[in-house]
Amino acid sequence: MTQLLINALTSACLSLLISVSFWLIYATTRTFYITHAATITLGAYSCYWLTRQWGMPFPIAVLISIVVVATTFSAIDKVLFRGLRSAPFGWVGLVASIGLYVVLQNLISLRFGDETQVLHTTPIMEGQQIGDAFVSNSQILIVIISTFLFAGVVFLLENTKLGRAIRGVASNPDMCILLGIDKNLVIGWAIAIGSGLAATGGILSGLDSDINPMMGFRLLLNSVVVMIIGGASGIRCLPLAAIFLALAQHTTAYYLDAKWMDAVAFIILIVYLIWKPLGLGGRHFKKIEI
Amino acid sequence: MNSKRLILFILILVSIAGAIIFVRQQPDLSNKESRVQIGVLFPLTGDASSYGQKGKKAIELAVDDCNAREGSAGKKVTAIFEDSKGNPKDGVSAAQKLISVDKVPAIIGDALSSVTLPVAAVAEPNKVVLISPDSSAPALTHAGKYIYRIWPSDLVEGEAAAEFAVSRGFSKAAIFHLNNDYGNAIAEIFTKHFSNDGRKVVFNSSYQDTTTDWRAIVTPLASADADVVYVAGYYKDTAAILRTATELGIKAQFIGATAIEDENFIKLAGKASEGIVYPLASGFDAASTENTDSKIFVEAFKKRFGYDPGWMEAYSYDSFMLVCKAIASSNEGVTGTQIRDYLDGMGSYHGVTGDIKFDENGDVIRGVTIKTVKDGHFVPYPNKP
Amino acid sequence: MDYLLHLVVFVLIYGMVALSLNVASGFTQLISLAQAGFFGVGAYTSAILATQYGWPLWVDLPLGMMVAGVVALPVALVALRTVEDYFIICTMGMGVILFSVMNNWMELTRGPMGIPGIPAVSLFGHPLMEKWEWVLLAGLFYALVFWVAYNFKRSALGRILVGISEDEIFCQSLGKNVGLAKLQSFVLGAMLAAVPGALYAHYVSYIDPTSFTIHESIFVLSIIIVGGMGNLWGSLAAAAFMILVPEALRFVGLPSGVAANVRQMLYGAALILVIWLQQTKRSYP
Repeated sequence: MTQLLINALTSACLSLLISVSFWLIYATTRTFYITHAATITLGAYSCYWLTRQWGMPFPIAVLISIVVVATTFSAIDKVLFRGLRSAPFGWVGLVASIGLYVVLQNLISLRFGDETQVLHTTPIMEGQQIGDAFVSNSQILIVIISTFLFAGVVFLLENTKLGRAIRGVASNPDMCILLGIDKNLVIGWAIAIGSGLAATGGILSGLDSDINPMMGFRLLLNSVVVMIIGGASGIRCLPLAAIFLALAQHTTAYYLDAKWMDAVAFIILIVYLIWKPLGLGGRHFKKIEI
Repeated sequence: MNSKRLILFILILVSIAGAIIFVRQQPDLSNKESRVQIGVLFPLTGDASSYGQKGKKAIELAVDDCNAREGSAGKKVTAIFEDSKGNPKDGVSAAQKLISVDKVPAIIGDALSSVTLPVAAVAEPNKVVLISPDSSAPALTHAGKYIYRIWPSDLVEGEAAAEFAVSRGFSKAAIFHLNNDYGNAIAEIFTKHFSNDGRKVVFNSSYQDTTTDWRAIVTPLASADADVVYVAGYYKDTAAILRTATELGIKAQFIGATAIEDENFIKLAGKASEGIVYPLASGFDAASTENTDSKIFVEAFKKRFGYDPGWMEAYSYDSFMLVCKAIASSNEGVTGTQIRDYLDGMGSYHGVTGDIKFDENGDVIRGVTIKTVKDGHFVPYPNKP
Repeated sequence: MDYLLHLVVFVLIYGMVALSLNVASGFTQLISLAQAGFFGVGAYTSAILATQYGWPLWVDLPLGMMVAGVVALPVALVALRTVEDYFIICTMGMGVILFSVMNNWMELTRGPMGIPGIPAVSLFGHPLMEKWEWVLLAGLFYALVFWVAYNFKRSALGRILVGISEDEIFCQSLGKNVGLAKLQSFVLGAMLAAVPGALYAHYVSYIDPTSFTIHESIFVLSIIIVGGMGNLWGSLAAAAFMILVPEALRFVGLPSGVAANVRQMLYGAALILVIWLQQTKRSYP
């Protein structure tokens, strides 16, 4: 039972990290940025590449990966997606982001192969014992770093000028122009930070359960569910949503069968959308209410 | 560009693509020498690529050896390699290409039972011989008259694993099995042979090959109180389970399947792999010098590829050589039916993996040895006193 | 030649799925990512009935359509409560659930082991084994599906759907039952997707869940985007383009190991490209 809780907590923390990173992009661009799945995977693989191919020490590889991924995706957004944001259909950005995801994921497959690779460089050993449960080092790392980063984002949003600008763009982009906030600059920053966080998430996940080209997509689907039920209007409820989903999934795995874990996430999402089709928080975005 | 022009543009592209395909389809008339094409279906990419790449190398050697020995009879062979990617859908697609386009009389493959079985369902009605070097699913026994394998059925492997557990005095077994034809089959056989005389399987969990969250799978094991754990899967998932179990502090004897004898297993599982026990169909041992054919093969392989061949290479080699012999023995054209007749009537074939003789179902009988991992190497399990 | 015919059959099959997606969501511009799931429902229903009970295509295909329709109903009822990109995410989730069922409900579908040995289609006792026979059969069904889709678009219901894509509220203000229209088109689209599903099962003789994932849905979506959403004539040309061009690459010497990845990259790139081109020349009201 304790083990179950620890596992769920770890999943929840990882999920929270990715959800927050996804939220930053969704809130500012109003697009479900599916390419984010590739961001996660790229973070993990670039770390892998730097440590394996170039023999870099792990922490330096991590830092470089995060920075490179953050800047790359910020640039990609400027080039590719900015022109699409004024489209009349809400799905244009989403579909384009799907296309980009497919391209990037296959590039990774081409370069590194479809097989699972091992990211961690430390030997496998028994975890620390807590009661009758065991916690591995990678789990501890995930929980600590995710919590720390999440707190960092909260701080950013509440107490810094950039953070307030992000919240402004998220709640009312047109108004921001009147207030002199450069929307595109804010979006650029949001994407950079979001991508950096996603890369971190990818590396953490890779340390825990190895890497393969599809790893990002799975993590992203979970996070999308968390974000929608947590409320896309702010990040306050995300931790709750993340824990709820993780508990639901792990309990299903424990008492039923692990193969239904993915379906559980989406069943929860569907149930939620039946109940509140416009998302939590009451406030909805640009959608017209029918 | 309005839609009419777009359609025209697309139609032109389609015609170009079609023309390219059509042109490439024409027989290569410049090559006067006619070669018999044998299809080879292996997982060349994907999670099982380690097996496939090894098999491919062995077959390359076999092609040359075959042409050197039997080629003087006027029939040279060449192998057409296709990638099954380790999944049944691509395997069936690739097999259909080999059968309809390349018109091969025989296919060597696949390395995975889960692919071999559906491919057999395609090969059989098309009268194409299918020889698998290592597929062990019991269902293959009755897969068809054109279906052969030179690895013993899992009935043997699963039994050996269960017998080992019994002989060690374990009474409560846990099973993790990969949810496919292979995993399900050996798990069932293990259960059947283990569960009597008060022994029970206390925990049985299946997992998909796409699993990423191993902790969710392995965690329930901690409270199951088993003294032996049987993992019926391939090396990647067995390694992940071992690793997770170690991190969760689970101490039990682990038994694996033959599929784990692959150096990637040690790489992925690290120290967690120490002590795992597994059965291996006997017949090939690179270090042994008793089988002279085997010795020649090992030396030739090592010279060409730079490392000692393992079971996958040896069995792939023998599979191809069997087809080679069948082709050489024919006086007329080479067809699947002719190869099948040869294999059925050939008596015993002495290959690098020992003696091969097919029974009426296209199965072989072989013994099994028990091996283990010690200090990062695969070694025979020390015999009980 | 055989291989080219084999590809043509695939083009026709996926062309039909594209047509069905156009019916389900192309006219209304409500993007659905669940279509591969319905394609799969048709395939699995047909496969199970054929292998378990020996029923021929003429029976299992209509049954497949009915099952797909029944499955689509609750999916539509839920999904259509959401709007625009939430709708896409919802259908994506539905697609994942459908896939999970196909992959995990072992007793029914044999899960990842798939269903092998699906018998060939027999016409008056003569089994269809030749590729050109299949081209004719698939072509016949394509024409049928096209006829249905075409008349649907031209019908009153179809016109409502096009109206929805332009201005949903205005349509509603004209007294049109918008919700019912969306529901009907979605369910009809799912039923039409079952047709190529059944054909696919009998043609390939082996099916497993990996043919019906979200990635397949994305593939079908890219076909109709490249061909033009709601553009029925474009569906076939786009399907041909998306299937044949990557295949041609295989013959230009690309090793088979990378062919699949390159093919997928082409889909992704085509998607981005077409969206870009369409957006930059679209005129906004």
